[in-house]
Amino acid sequence: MTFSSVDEVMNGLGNAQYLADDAIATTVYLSSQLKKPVLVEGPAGTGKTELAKAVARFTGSRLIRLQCYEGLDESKALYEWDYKRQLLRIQAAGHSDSNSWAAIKSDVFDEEFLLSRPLLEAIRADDPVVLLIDEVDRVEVETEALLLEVLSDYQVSIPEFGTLTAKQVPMVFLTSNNTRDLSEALKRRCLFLHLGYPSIEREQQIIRTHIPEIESELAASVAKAVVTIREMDLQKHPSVSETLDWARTLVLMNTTDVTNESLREGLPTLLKHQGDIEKVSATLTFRH
Amino acid sequence: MLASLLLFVDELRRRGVPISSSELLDATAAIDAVGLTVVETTRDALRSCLVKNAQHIDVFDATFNLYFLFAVAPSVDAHLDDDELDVDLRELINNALDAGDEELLIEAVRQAIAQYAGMVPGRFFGVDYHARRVLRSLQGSDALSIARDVDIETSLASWEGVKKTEHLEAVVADEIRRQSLTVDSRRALADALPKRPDQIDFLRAQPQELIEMRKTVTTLGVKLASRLRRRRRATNRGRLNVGATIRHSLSTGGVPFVPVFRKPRRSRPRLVVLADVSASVASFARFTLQLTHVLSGQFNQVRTFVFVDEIDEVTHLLAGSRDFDDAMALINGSARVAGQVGHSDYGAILSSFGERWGSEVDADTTLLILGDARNNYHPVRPAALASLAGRARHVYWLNPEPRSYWDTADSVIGAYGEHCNAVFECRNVAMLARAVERVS
Repeated sequence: MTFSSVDEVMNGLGNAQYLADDAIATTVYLSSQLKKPVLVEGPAGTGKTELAKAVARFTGSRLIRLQCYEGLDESKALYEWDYKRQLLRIQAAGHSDSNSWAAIKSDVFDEEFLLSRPLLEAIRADDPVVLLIDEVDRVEVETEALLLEVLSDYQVSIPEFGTLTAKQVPMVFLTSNNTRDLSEALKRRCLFLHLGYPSIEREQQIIRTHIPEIESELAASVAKAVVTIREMDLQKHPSVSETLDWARTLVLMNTTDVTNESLREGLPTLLKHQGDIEKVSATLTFRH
Repeated sequence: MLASLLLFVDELRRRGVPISSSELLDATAAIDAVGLTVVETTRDALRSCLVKNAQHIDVFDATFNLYFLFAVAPSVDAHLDDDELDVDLRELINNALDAGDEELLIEAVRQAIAQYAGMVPGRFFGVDYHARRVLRSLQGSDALSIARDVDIETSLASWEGVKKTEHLEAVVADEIRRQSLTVDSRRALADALPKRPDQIDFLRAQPQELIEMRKTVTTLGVKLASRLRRRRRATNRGRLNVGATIRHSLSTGGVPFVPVFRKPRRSRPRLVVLADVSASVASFARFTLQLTHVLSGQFNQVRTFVFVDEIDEVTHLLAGSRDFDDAMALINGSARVAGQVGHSDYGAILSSFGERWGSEVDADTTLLILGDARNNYHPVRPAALASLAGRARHVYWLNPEPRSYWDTADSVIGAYGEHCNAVFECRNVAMLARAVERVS
C-alpha cells in the first residue's frame, strides 16, 4: 500500500487512536515508498507493537503476527510440509491405477500440501497485509537468517517447490527490546525507528486520548509526575501503559489531583521492582 | 545535494557511526521520496536510513544540525529598541520566556552573548565555557540544576520554572555554537560534536559525560550478561562420553538411545576484584565496579576490594540489589583505605592482600586488578603478585591509561604485568566491556 504524504500517515494514525510524532510518521511513509521494513526499537511499553496494529487499523489491512522466541525455527516461521497428507496421498496412489513414481512425486510436493506459517502467509496474501515480527531480539542470531530473504526480496525459497514471490508487498514491522545487538545484515535491510519515552506534552495527549473522561488538570499532573519519576535512576522506568493504568485507577477513585499520598499508593502500579518503589518513596518523604 | 550528503555521511563515519553503502543508497532514495522542503522531515528520513543504533542518535542529530541548520541563522524580525536595552536583560529574557516569544528571546540572547560571553576570534574555549559565563551573568548563579530529591508537589509547582531554564540554556548554547562557527570554526567543529559515550576516555571525562557513560555501562552490561549466558549454555555439554553411552545402552539391548556427555570443566568463575580508588583512577574503578555489579549473576561469587594505600573488602557494601550510587557513597565514606600517606603503593597492597586473603584465592578464582600501576616510586614487589598468580586460575590487569603511557615515570605495569595472564588497556567503556568479556 502507498501513502501520498507524511501528513496522510499522521492523520491516519491519529484516527486509529495512535498519537504519532513526526519521526514516526516520516518513517512509516518512507517504509511504504521505499518498500523497506521498519525496525522499531525501544524500552518496553512505549507503543512499538501498537504502532503496527494502528497502521493495520487505519489502512484496513489484515495483521499477521509472528511472535519470536528462542526456539523459533523454519517450520514455525516460514513453512512446513503437511506430512500426514503427503503420506495419505502416497498410500492412495498405491491403490490406484497410475503407479508412475514421477507422477506421484510431482503431486506430493504441491501447493496444497504446503502449510504456510506467518511469513509465507504474508507473502502469499491477496489482500493488503501488515506483517508484525514481534520481539525479534529474542531469537538467536543464527535464526535471524531465515528472516533475511523475506525482508529484502519479499520472497521465500522452498527447495522442493521453487521460489514464491510476493503478489503485493506487505508493510513489515519488527520490534525489539534491545536486549541484544541485532545482526548487521538484519539492520541493514530495515529502516530504524527509536521509540523512547514520550515528552510531557505527548504523554498528556496520550492519556487524554485513551481516557476521554479524565480532567485535563489531572492528566497534566499525572504526566508531570511520571516524567519526573522517569528521570530518576531506577531499574525499570514506568512505561506508557503503566501510566495509563494508574490514570485509570485515579479516575475510578475520583481523585482530583496528584498528591504525595496518591502517588505513594500508585507506586505499585507504576513500578515493578521493590527497590524502585522504596527509592521513590524515600525521596517523597525526604521533605517531611 | 549528493555532494553535501556524501560529506555529511563522511563526517558521521568519522564520528563512529557505521554507515554502509547500501544505507547510503537508501538515504538518497529517501531524499527523493520526502524532498528537502521541510528540514525536520528530511532529518527524520535520513536518521531512519543512516542510524541503526540508538546510541548514535545524539551524534547524528548534532552533526545534522551543524551541517544543515546552523549555517542558516533564523531570521529575527524583532529588533530591540534603544529604551528596551536599558531594561535589565534579565527581565527581558524572563518576559520573552513567559510569553513564549521565540524571536524576542533569540534577539535578547544575542545581546547577552555580545555582552557577557567574551567570545572573540582566537579566544574560543568551548561552548560550555561561554554559555556558563552568559548564564551566570544573567541569573546570578550557575546553570540551574534542580535537585530531584524534592517532594512531588514542590517539584510539580516549580516544573514550569525548570523547563524555562532548560529552554534558555538550550537557546544560549545553540546561539553560541552558531556564532562560534565564524569565530573559530575548527575548534567549534571539534567541540560541537559529542563523542559517542562509550568512546570517551575515563581519565578525561567531564561531569556531564560521566552521566551518559553510566547509562551506557548499564546497557552494555545487560547485553554482555545475555551474551555470556548464551555462551555458557552453548558449552553446557561436554564431549561425548563413549564408554558411558555404551554402558547406558546395555539397558536398551545394546542400542544407544541416550548419549551421555562429559560434564564441561568450564564453570562460572569466582571473581576477586582489587580496585585502586585513588583520585587519579577513581572514575575508572567506579565504572568497572558498576559493570561487575551488573554482571554479578554471571559469576559464582564476586568479592570486591578497594585500596588507596591500604586495602579493605567492600563486598558486603555492594551486595544485593542496593542502588549502586548509594553503595559507592558508602564505600567512599566507610572503607578504611586511606592510610597515612594517601598514595598507592602497589607492592605493599599486594603483599597485604596476600597475607590477609591470599589463602582464599584458589584454582577457581579469577583475579582482576584495576589500576594505573603508578607506584609513586615505592619499591616494586613482583613476588607478591607472582605468588597470587600461582594460586589463582587467571590474573588480569585492567589499565585505564593509554598504552603509550605505560612504564613511563612511576608506572610499573611492566614489572607486574609479567605475572599476569593479560594486561588490558581500558581507556573507555567500549574497551572495558571487551576486556570484561574476555575475562569472564
